[in-house]
Amino acid sequence: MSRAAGLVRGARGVRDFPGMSPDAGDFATRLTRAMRDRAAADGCLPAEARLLEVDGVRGWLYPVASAHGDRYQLFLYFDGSAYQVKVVEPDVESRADPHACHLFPSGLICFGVEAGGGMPTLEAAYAKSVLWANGFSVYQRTGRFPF
Amino acid sequence: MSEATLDRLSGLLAGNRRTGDELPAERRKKVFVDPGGRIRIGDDLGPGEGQHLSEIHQALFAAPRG
Repeated sequence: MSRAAGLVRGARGVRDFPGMSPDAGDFATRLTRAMRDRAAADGCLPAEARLLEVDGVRGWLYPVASAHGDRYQLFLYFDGSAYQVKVVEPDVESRADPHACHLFPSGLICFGVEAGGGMPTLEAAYAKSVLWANGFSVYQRTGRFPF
Repeated sequence: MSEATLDRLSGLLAGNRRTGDELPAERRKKVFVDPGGRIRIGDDLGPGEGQHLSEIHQALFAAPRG
């Protein structure tokens, strides 16, 4: 069994071992999530998605084109409690009414499923970010967010 | 996705929200996204399709406070 596999296998019950520190448990939990997210990202994100670390935040930058042909660059990451998506391009922070188009002032999409506006899984965050991009394209043309 | 499909999607989401069916069990009521960023309505998928599709949770988007 590889070292990584051993850590992952131990993650669930790590606190049952008296000699293992809480730090090791946290590390194992993070490693498990990182491996699971990598697999999920490989399966569901666009082929052009890139894994990046920005200001200490590790996440995926990926392109989305709406049905109207508008192009977006979105950044998906886990914030410690939920999966968040930030709109990198276009610059929506200064242009859009955040309430009308479900954005936090920072450019994070307010999904509304989990507390804090995130989603419970990477796949769910990706799927809903694409719906948001299509809704935002309609909003830009009509002033109404359709979804 | 055409305007007609957008309208159809909007109607499907509204209908499912009215019944509280935000993660419907029936495939025809589900909405997916493929890795190419295209939205796919469950009714339009062929029998073998569905792998590598991410399901959209159909709850309303929220408005941030503040």
